[in-house]
Amino acid sequence: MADLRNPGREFDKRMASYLAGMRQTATSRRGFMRLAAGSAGAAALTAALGGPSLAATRQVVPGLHLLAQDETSVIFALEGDVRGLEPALSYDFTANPVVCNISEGLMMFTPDGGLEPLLAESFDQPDELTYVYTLRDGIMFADGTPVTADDVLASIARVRDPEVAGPLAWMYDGPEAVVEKTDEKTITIKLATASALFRYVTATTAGHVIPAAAIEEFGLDLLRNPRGTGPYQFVSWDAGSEIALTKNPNYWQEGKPHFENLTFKIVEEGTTRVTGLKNGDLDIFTALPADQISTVAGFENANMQDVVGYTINFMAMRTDTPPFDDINIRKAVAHAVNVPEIMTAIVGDTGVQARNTAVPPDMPGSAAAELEPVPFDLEKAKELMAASSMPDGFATKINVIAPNDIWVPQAIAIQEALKELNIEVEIVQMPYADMITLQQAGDYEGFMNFQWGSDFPDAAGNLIPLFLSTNTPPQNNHFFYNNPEVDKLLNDSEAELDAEKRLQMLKDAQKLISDDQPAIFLEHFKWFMPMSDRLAGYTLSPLWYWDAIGRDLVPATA
Amino acid sequence: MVKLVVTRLLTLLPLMFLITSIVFFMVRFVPGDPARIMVGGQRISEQNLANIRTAYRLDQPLFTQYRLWVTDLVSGNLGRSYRQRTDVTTLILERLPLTAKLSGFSFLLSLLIAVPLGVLAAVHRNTWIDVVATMFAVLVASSPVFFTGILLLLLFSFKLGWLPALGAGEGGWDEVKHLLLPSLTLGLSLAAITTRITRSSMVEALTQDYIETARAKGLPTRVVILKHAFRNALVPIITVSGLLFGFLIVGTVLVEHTFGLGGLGSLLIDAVQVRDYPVVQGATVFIAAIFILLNLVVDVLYGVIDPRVRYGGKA
Repeated sequence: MADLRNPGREFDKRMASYLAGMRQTATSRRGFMRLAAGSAGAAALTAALGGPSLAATRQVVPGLHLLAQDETSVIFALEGDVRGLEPALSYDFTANPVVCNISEGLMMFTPDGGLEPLLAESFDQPDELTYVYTLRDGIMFADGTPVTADDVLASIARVRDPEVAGPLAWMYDGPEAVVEKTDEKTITIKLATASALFRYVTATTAGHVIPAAAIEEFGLDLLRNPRGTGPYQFVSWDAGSEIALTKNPNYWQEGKPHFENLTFKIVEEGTTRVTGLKNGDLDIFTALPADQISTVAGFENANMQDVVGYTINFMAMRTDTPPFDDINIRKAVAHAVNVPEIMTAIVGDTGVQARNTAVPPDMPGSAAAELEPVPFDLEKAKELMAASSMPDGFATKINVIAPNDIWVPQAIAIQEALKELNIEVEIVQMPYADMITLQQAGDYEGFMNFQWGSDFPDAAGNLIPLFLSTNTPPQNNHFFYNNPEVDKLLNDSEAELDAEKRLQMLKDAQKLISDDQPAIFLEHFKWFMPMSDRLAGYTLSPLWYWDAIGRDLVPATA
Repeated sequence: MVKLVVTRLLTLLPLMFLITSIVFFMVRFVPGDPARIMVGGQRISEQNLANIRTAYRLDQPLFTQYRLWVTDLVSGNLGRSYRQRTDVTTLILERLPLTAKLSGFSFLLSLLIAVPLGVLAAVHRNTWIDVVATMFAVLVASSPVFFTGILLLLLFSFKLGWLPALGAGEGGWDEVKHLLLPSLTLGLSLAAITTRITRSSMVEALTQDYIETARAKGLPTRVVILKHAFRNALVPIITVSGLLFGFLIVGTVLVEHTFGLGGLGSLLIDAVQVRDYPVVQGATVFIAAIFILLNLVVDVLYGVIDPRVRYGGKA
């Protein structure tokens, strides 16, 4: 199951890009956001132009700007253009919210990190390699044709098709996994190598079911002609501007969805999304710029949900070469950095402090409750430095994606803190694409600031890609971390069918990793979802990007 | 006139060849493997990577790729997007109407602002009107397009709620309403330069002897200014306006980003970010061709406005 040992590579990269954008705000823009939020400058400018107060505006200028909202429609803003609308290609934060409303998986994630059947009526795992799915009765695609096991086989084959070259193919274990129809309602997937994470694959877009006939009819053009069983069906795609969906008349879940139309508008500028929410041009979005959180929280016409993601922002130390091959130095560095102060001064409400593990507290398999953050203790740091291989200090680098309102200030704070240990740090700022190139080449020294988020609700989704010794660059073991005990625990956990035992193995692995201190684990960053107060029914989950958000939305008064 | 147009059209050929060459080779200087980017950087077998490279001719030598691309280009085929797996021509044609509307509307707004302001400033030279016009031009010219856009967005949409913040509307008044802020953003940036050029051209024209003659003949001031001075001041204004169209295209990229408009600019930017060579090449060549053709139109307009150009400078 080689590929599954590096889950989420692309998603991780897209997540980093997304977060870079989300957290990246020019000072001028931030200044003007505040201005708009009610600063004296804005008031003066408005008054000078004879503008009425916001509350009075809509009466004073009737009809000039009609609200886009109506009672039957919901508008969701995406922060970038969509690559294509077929599940096999949907593995990012723009395509997924659309596709997940058009087609559905055999399984689905629950908000608390569980797994439930969706198009499947039941799911069974008789051994560590075999997964059996039985389809529900009476499920139809939006055009009224019934869903069959053949559709499931064709859909999975589509994800794995080399011609399609989709980013989700790795989830099916390369060509070795066998997917077959046991009977008209049953599909069996037999893996070549055990993977505890595979059970989650069919809850992602890699497990979505689309009509075999559509695959045959449209071929590569399927990405512009999406089909499925989801709560909505595709109407039109105005490239670069908006995607319109309408209610699926044959949707199998009684009474859902509530709203007739679901429209996705592409709005790349964060300030514009915030403005659109305020004046009613749109109803929901997810990519909220960090510096506008408090502004949106103050909106009278919107609510904001947030949730800690299955994420981690860390300052990796390269453990295979000096100076960070010395554990005393790694521990000294961890004690010298005042992470709580960084949380207060820089991270604020955008994340929660990590407890010296890459796994957030609410993620199944987390050892956060049994671990403690490394305490800020300069004396201890100096003692550890004195006992290290470089007691007089050294020079090193921090590689960080820039510009960014959080990661760069964090790097500067760490640079300052390490001066106490006579460690001279050069901060190397680079664009996201350059960082990826550097990381994949493994051509770096010292620190590397990076972010990770799991595709699955399972500690293994963070631990295996980041800490298994076979996953060094170009994979995601940025630390070049190599601990045979950790390797054994992670490898054994893959084949362990007893869930409790497996999670304990993952917790034990975290404790070993924590002892080895391959990184300064900073924070688990949050997801935010501002939503018009006329809507309710959807609860933001750490894996929101696999959800059919439109399915559960209802009017707030309902 | 016909000779002028034909001559200009013929000069397009080497120019387009040069542009295609620059575009083709420049995009390939950007680091990043398009085949790997197509599969999202995932691990993939070398055989599958080879299949992708073959399908998109990425396995061919660079000059062979170039030759094939130019051959396709001549036959009107701009290739297929790596990322969106769709014909580049289709992608461009889908986005073109919005960008054309945005550009046209912006250009119109800029002229409506700049020409009267420039003429007024020249006629009332060294008065408060001139000072205000100059201040306007300096202020707007110093403000980057994205900054002006955010400012207008925050004022007219966020603060006052008068205009929509995003989208292109659905025809008629709704479309005008939606395009007003982005067009004003771009129009103001263009107007700054045009205002200054209009003013200086008019100042020069107003000091000419024939203006004195016209005044001496007792012609009304309005006629002197609009018929005699303004017409003679038009050539530099048109020249600059034509050149500013290039700026307009750059501006649409930023404005489309700010106001959630899916035009040609956003298509190009997205393509650059994911190394989608066919889209970058196709869109750039398309924009370059439009720019060149517009300058041809400007050249022809000279002839219409100024008989000396029409008659080969012998008038």
